[in-house]
Amino acid sequence: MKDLKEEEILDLYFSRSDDALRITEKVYGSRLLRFASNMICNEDAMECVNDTYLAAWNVIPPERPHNFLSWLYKVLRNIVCDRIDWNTASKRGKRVNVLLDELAECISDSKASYEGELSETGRIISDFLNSMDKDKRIMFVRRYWYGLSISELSKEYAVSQSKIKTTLFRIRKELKEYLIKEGVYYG
Amino acid sequence: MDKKDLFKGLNYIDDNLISEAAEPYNSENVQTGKKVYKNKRKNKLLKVAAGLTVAAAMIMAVFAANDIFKEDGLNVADDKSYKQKTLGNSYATMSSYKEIYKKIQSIENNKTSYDYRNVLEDNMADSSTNIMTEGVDESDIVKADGKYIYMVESGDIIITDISKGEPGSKKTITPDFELPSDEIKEMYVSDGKMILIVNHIKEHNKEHNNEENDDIYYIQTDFEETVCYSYDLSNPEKPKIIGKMRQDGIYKTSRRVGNIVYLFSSYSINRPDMGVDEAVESGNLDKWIPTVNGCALDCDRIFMSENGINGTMITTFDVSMPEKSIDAEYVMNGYGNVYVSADAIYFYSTNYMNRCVTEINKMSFSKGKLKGEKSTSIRGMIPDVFAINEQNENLIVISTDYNYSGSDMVNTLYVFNSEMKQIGILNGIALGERVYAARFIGNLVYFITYKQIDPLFVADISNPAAPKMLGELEVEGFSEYLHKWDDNHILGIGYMTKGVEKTGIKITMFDVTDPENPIEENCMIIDGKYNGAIFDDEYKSVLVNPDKNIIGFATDEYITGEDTDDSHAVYHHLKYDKENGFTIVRDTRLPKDNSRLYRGLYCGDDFYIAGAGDIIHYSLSEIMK
Repeated sequence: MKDLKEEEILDLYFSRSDDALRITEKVYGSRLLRFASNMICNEDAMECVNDTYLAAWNVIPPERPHNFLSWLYKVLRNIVCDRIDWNTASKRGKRVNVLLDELAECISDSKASYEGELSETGRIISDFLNSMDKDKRIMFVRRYWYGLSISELSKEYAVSQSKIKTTLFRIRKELKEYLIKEGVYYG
Repeated sequence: MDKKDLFKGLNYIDDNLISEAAEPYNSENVQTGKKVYKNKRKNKLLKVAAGLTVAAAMIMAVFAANDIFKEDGLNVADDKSYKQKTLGNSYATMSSYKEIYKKIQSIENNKTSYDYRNVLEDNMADSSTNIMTEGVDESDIVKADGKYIYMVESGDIIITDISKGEPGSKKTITPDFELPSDEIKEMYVSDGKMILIVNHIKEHNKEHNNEENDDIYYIQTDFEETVCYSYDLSNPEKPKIIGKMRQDGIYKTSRRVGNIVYLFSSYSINRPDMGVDEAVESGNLDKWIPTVNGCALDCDRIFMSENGINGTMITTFDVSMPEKSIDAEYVMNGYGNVYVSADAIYFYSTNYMNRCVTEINKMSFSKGKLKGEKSTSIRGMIPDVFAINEQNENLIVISTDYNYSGSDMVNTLYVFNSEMKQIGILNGIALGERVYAARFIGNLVYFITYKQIDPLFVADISNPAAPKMLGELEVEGFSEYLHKWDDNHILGIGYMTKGVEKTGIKITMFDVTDPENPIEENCMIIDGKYNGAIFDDEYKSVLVNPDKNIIGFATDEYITGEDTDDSHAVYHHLKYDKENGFTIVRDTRLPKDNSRLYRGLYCGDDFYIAGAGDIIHYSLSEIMK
């Protein structure tokens, strides 16, 4: 199969070619849809993916993402987070509920409030992840950013599911301690 | 900070962290582990393969006599009797696998944009699955046969004896799936047979990296299959497997008409990483051509289009012979949806890229045999699964058309004849609003549009060439689901709103005795807290029986307060009479915090709320006192 390089696809956007979105959908569509379907109901997932294509068309140019696929994932995740009805467990994808429950373990027991921006949260988590071993760092991101299941991670890492669960549990515990140490919870 | 802040905060981590983890993990350190895993898997697969060898030989003998599959697809081109088949104006079969390969190649290289051709589209004693079309059964996660309740619970089926009313003995069946990751999606139970519909990951494709540089190339990560396991239920506590039917693609939906199951899955045809001559060798066809029971479809079963490489696979089989497919087709209709009437399948998919246009393609069926018919296109999307309906061979569709900002929405009712030619239209309905719910009853169609108030519209479709609006009613809130209560009433289940905010669940009884002047006879609001529900996109979860005076549905409730942060699911069981309106018979807090897992059902006087391995039971006569 002839593979179209990312740069060639981005060139289509810069030349405002009608093929830009069509080829984006062809090359990345199935992965983006699977990603969104992990987070949100199927009907909304398709709409979120379509909104991502539209965002790409509107933003590129002048923006030229360094890594187009990752950029698409990021835009899509933001769109999905905006679409998710955070008050309604049933509207969220089944996996998101599980991920949220796991991430809840990283939240301090303190009743203190957090008034930081989400971007600051991202920076703190990035610092934490960059201090970790690569294997564990990727595992955490693939679980909580990309939404992979324990079963899928178990196959990728060729270890048992309980090993994956244990490793993630330890990472979450370390993240909690890191967030406390960084003063995220204060009061 | 709460858990959702943390989840959303992940959106802002460094880009390099996101890129680093974008592809499936592959570390040198786990090579040994991978071999161990592969060997274990390989041994299991060898055992399975050995057991299937005889069955496979028998199946191939059947397929050899069946003209759905050819041993060598190259022969099709030499077959002088070959005639190209079309599905409407947008889809056509190819004469050979080489032509399919070249077509995929041309789609990849084609500089022209896709051109949408404008073709101018009980009182029963026991409950059953809430279905769309009478006579067309649908699979679900909970089923009952009067003596047992069958529930999907993760990878198991839980069978509970209800022959004495109260839930009795419970048996957990763990099917012998091929992989631990195999997931039961839905099932059928009837006439002494159970069919489990399972998603199965066929294989992981290997990464294809250019060793000369680090450029990222497109790869297909997983091949998924939909597998139907058929069981004999002569002894429900010991179901006996009688066969398997498998087709490529992720499970989409299914229907059952009589003894015939129609199975739909989503599948993308990707050109394989090899030249055309190698790709069309019989041993390589199953690597890219959609397969049924491991055999690649014949060329003239694959309806290609210019519209990308995604599509819908459909296979039909008789439940008494689950391993033999009666027919199979593939339609390259993108990520579309399916509506099934008593004798036709309508595939519809919306393209948002250039303009919002929905293509509708018709395929008729009879005893499992499929036949491509015509197609059409409409402006807009079909916003509700009940907004498309076939009546007296005419297809009626309600669409909402809007640009991406959501402004300038407009709704249209189309009528198409059996040849998919437009014969009637009612346009300019409810400007600035979209359709949320629809229901066709006799010669009338009821539908709900919404922006801040809920107009119920009633249209007369008795004259297909001239549909006309009869009446309109504005009430607060909006209904997401409509159901016929009796000849003069329509039940609506939806939301109460304040501005655009949902403030509670609203149940409405509309009196449509005079369709030109519908009125809101009664309503009930479940408010005080924000509620979510699954009835808006899971119509199977709603239970309505006017004769038994039962209305049942589940919601997810989220309560926040100074000291509380509670999320739980509730099953609402209501009844109705004109004088007293709606009355809650019983609100049942569900064991698991997910209303989607549960169904309400009744057998005689016994009412059950079942799902995820849980059954809650009470007597209808006792509770109604």
